[in-house]
Amino acid sequence: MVPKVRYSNCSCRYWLTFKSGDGSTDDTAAINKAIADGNRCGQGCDSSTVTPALIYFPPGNYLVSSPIIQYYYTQLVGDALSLPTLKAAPAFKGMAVIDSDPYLDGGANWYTNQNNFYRQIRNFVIDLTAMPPSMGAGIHWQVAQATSLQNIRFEMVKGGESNKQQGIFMDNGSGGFMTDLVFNGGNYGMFLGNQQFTTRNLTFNNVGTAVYMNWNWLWTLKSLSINNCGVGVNMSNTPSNMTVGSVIIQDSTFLGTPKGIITAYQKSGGVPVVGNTLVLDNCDFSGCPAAVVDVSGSTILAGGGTVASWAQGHAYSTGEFGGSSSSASAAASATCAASSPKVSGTTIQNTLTAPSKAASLLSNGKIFERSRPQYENVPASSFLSAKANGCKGDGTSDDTAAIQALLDKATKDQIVYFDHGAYVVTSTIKVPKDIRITGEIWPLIMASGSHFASQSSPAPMFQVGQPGDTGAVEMSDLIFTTKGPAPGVILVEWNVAESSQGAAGMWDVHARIGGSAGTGLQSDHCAKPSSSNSTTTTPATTNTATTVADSNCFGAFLLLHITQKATIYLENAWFWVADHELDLPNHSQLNIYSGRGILIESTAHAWLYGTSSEHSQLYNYQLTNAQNIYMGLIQSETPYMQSSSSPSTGPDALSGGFPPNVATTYSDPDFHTCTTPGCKKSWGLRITGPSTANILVYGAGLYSFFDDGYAQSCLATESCQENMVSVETGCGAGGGGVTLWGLSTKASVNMVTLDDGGDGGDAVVPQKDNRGTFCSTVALFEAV
Amino acid sequence: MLTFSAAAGFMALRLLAMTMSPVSQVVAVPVASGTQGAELPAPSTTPATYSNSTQSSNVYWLSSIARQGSVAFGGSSSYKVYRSVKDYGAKGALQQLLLSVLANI
Repeated sequence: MVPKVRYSNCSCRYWLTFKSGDGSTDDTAAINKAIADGNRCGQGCDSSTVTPALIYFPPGNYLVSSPIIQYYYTQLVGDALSLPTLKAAPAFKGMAVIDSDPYLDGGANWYTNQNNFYRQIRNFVIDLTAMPPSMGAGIHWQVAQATSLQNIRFEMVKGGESNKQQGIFMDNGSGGFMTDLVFNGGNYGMFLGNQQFTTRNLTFNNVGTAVYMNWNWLWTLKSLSINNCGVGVNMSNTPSNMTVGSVIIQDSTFLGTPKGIITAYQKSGGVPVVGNTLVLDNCDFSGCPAAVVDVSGSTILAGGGTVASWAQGHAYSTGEFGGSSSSASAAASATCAASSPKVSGTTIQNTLTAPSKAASLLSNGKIFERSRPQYENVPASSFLSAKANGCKGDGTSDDTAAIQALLDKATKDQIVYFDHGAYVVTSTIKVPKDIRITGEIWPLIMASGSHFASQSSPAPMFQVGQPGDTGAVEMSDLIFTTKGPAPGVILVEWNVAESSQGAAGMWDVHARIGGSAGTGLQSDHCAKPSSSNSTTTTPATTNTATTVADSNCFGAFLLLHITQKATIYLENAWFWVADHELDLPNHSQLNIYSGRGILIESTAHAWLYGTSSEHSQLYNYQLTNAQNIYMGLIQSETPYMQSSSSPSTGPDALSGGFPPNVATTYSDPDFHTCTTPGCKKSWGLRITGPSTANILVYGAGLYSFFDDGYAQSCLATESCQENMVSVETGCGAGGGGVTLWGLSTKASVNMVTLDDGGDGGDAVVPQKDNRGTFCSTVALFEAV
Repeated sequence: MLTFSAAAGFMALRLLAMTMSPVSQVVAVPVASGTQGAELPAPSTTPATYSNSTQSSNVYWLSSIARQGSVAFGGSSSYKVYRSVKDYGAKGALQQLLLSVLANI
């Protein structure tokens, strides 16, 4: 169809659009057909890894009149050199221009929201300006882990009493990562509800409320640029029973915005006690007169300048809050001298001394950031396809030698490209210290065979550089996994140190152990025993499960090892030992026994943005003598099948079944003194070693949902395990330097255990004193 | 003399010399003010820092690279991992139509 101009003799402003007479410019059906083609996982399918789709949008302006439905395991990628526009038609009908999880009549969704994994949307302009201002949303983003939004601009109607437009509408989920988003206009830039999320480099111009936080457990907002908005972040939903657990805002700027943050926090009498915990770190409010206000509009924290460090909530320290380093050190010595470490807790709503941040972590005074490289300026001829260079990627052939040859031959101008497939690796691949590798919608790199079979002889599959190397390594859009049990495999051993800031990293690289086709660790033989409690949403109470570790369902030794001299920029990484089946139709829960999650030993530095490590047996995150580590946020879950109190069901996972020996060379935790099932549980975060220093965590969600073998009676008493975070940094010179901001734990009796000298840890932060919305939350824990 | 106010910033409209053809009626849409010249999201760092290459390209590699991806476990040999929406009939042609309209004012 072709538009017609109607003109008169007046000097008029012309407003232009279409009546799509024959609908031929309406691209909705075509786009949805491109996505759905091939009998993919849509309505009626909860998940699938075997129908992936990478959907490319060439430059252009696409008129859409109803939602683009993003099926499961789909990447929507616009042209990175000339962003396509998705233009909502004036009569657009539906929840959002892009819908990641449609609603059915009656309120159910296509996909279970907290299992809505593996999505990506990047490089778009989404334009709602043709719609009536009273409606319209850009993306309905109800997603879980291994999902990301990158490089998207949302154009919305600016202002107006009836404005209800929102860029992102998020109702539920368990995420997730977003970066490089711009919101122009609209009532809400983002309406957010999720368990946890990491979002950075977000710009809001002329938005009513930039971020409306509807509910959360924790959320890390970094590098916000809020310009000429009415409100920056409104987290005050339902003041009488707060729905927002905690928010961290870091490295952010508020300009021309009268109210920075609206909060319903109460220093005493809050419901829940620490609801609306808030941490501000390096926030510039010089263009915002009221940085933090309460629901009546009274100023809690005046703006007009930069706030280096401020928090409200509960805070615990081994030293003195806001003290100088010398007084903190003296206090720490006193702590060490005591037989039981003294940790003081208090309620705060005040400015704090800014934490010291290692210079190597910073750029222009902010924690350094770098987005996933898209190589938009690299010609296709510079890409070396794995399948065109000797690799089969068929999930059966041994591709080890071909992959090694391919990596060795790539020049600095070239990029290694793993076409979608599954590449079997049977011995260590030595990844060069200068290399760029990307994949076609998460190809699988699968450890297999005898080289990776022994827990007493662990071996890396991808050995990235050698210890002492300095270089530039970029890896993106890959999944590391195993083909069958591989209890000796270290999926990725990262040795390289960056040759320039942020030069060595992984983006949108995940680990998945079992739970999907080809892994040999699926519900056909690794399902939770049928006598176990069923997977219903109603918490079960009785334990009939067995947790004997089945060697046919062993996973990996260690998912990711950052070694002593290495540096890494790790972003949007979900390291998941499968707790349930993604492909076989029963989608049942799984008992997969995998040793260790992420181990960081770097004494140089590392950034971990938006990471999750779940269901490893000994720990999900461990830092051993690490220094200058930034993590924001981290998320973990204890393996669901740990542990058993019933001797008749055999040795439980940690005390004899798996692993057989404690690997002291890896500084494994030791559970042999445990006498209760609640003690024999994976550490969410374990920080150990006397050289530990300058550990900065901005947001941690560490969860335990089951006790004594898939029972859930422990949730009612918040006691699914005894301990979650262990700080074992000892005392004396160099000891300490651990700062945890916005720590949330679920159903761990003790949030933090402090071990000052090896006689066993002391519980120093009880969860019962820190009840939040769903988790227990502290604004700050520091071991100085 | 007709004047024409600039359209929303997301479209860089330029008048082109195009021939008049029969058209259907145009109706109004509000222009999102304040978006003129709105910037694209800036990447967090300048790419030049990391580029080891002196090459450059005017074509996004993702659109032209040879497609050999396939699902190793399950699925049929005809299953397509990569799809371009234009191969399914999406036109992305909004801009062209507006351009032709403006040319005829």
